Amino acid sequence: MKCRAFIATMFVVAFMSQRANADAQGRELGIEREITVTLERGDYLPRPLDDRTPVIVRLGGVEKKDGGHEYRLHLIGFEPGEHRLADYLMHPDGSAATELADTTFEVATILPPDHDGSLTPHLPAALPWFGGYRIVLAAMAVTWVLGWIVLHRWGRRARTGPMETNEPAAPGFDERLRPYLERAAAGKLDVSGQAELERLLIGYWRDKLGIAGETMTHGLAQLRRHPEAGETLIALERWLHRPGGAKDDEIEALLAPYRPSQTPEEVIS
Amino acid sequence: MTTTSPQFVRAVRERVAEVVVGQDVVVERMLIALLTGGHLLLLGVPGTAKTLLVNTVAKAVALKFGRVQFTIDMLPSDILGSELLDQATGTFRTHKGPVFTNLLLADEINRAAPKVQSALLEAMQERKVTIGNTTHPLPTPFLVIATQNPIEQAGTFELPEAQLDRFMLCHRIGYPTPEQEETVLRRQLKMGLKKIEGGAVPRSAFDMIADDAVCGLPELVAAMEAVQQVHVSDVFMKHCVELVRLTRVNPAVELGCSPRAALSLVQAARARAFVRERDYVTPEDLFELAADVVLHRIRLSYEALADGRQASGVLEEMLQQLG
Repeated sequence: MKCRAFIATMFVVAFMSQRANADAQGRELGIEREITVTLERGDYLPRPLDDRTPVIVRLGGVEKKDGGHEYRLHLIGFEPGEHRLADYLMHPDGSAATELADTTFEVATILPPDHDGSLTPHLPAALPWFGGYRIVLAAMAVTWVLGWIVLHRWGRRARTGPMETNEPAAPGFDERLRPYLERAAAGKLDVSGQAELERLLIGYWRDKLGIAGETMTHGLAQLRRHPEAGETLIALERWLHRPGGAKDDEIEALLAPYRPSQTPEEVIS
Repeated sequence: MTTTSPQFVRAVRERVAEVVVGQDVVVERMLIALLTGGHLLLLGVPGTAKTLLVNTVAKAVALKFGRVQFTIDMLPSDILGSELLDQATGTFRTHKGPVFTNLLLADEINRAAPKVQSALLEAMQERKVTIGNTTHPLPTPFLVIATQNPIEQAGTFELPEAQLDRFMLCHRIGYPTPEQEETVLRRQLKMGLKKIEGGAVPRSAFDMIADDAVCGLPELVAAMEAVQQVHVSDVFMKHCVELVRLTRVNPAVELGCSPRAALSLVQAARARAFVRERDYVTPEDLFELAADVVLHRIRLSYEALADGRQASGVLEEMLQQLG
């Protein structure tokens, strides 16, 4: 957020600086500007000028206004000072507009009146202020790189975040088995529960014998060869897959080893 | 267990063992296909006895056997048949193609153009063929065993997923073990020459196939009936449905299994239990058959492929989730 505000401020400063320079340079000499003058007659024409003229005058338009005529004149001044409008307009017959001798306009200069015209050598400052496009581009490049660094660090933190948090460990097979064993003991284990119980018991034994990395087919073959696990698998098959299933006492005998050990209070009672 | 199982299965296995060394799993898969009427796709490099196996099984069970070598310039009529003009009578007569058989070996099925593959796969699905305006039922049993070379892919047309789904099983044949390969060599040394009309050629394994069948169509039908009696528990069906569901929700899998996969799992498990002389299926059947039923029906996502993952690895993860 701070970064964005900084970039925005930088743009505003750069823009204002450029604008001020443009105004200072474009106000007077060599820059076209428009003036409006109200005259009695409406048929004045611009006088033909040579290439040494101190001012170029172009007629933009004439409109009747308040009993007179409003002239829009476009001027480009080349010499500072006061100029007579009579020198730049004439009657339609080519005669001089002497009646305009008192009407003047001014071409100003940004130089002081006492300036002798000599050039001032440009001495760049040791620490230039914002305003040059190179500075702005360099600042943007630095901001861009810094932004990437910040995003990279935040992104890494976000990705690694969940691993660093102390989430509770996934429940073990004992905990996952418990609800199914309880429901089986109560005779309320449905087909979905039976399927889940069988999968959990296979997973339990693969985990216990350290063969979780083996393929399922190889793992199952190893379980069958193991005395306890093999017995469990055969009992499970008899219960869940053989036609007719198993008797209650067989199911009880199958599941008893996987039930959590009884508390002392339960043993006493 | 029904008494048909040991006799039928052992007789076929013994007959195959006379000719083919090892490949017990492939023989079992062929028996599963034969007993369930499902079609089988064999993936294997050349020289792994695919044709020999099919030929031996067909002769052992006294089935009508046909073999078609698929090529790029084949036409559907080359397999299905066509109507020919009999110039003597001025009428059309139907010429039935090689598909009219009990056991069809479609060798290198991916070399044929898609329209030929489609024609065969339609026959596989509907078990009937239309030539001209007449529809002809295919003989029963009708079983297609197709082969594909997984290495050489130039000039082949890969079977799309929808067509692969028609194959109940897709088994990947591996190389024989060094001991088995040594036995093959020893057998070859003893074969000698076959003399024909004064000339002679070296005997091949095909010459070792006995012409007499060890069992006939009635025994096969009885075995097929026995397979239909194999008990499938509700719990087993839950496992099958869960495995198929896992293929559809796994992020590494773009295309999961169709419902046909679960049907194939149950049918194949029944036949495997029968072959193993059980009258009920167990989770072991599911885990053993999962690769052959599932792998050709799933398509990995682009991200999984970019990570260098393989379908077999993804399936193993799903089986571990299941177990």
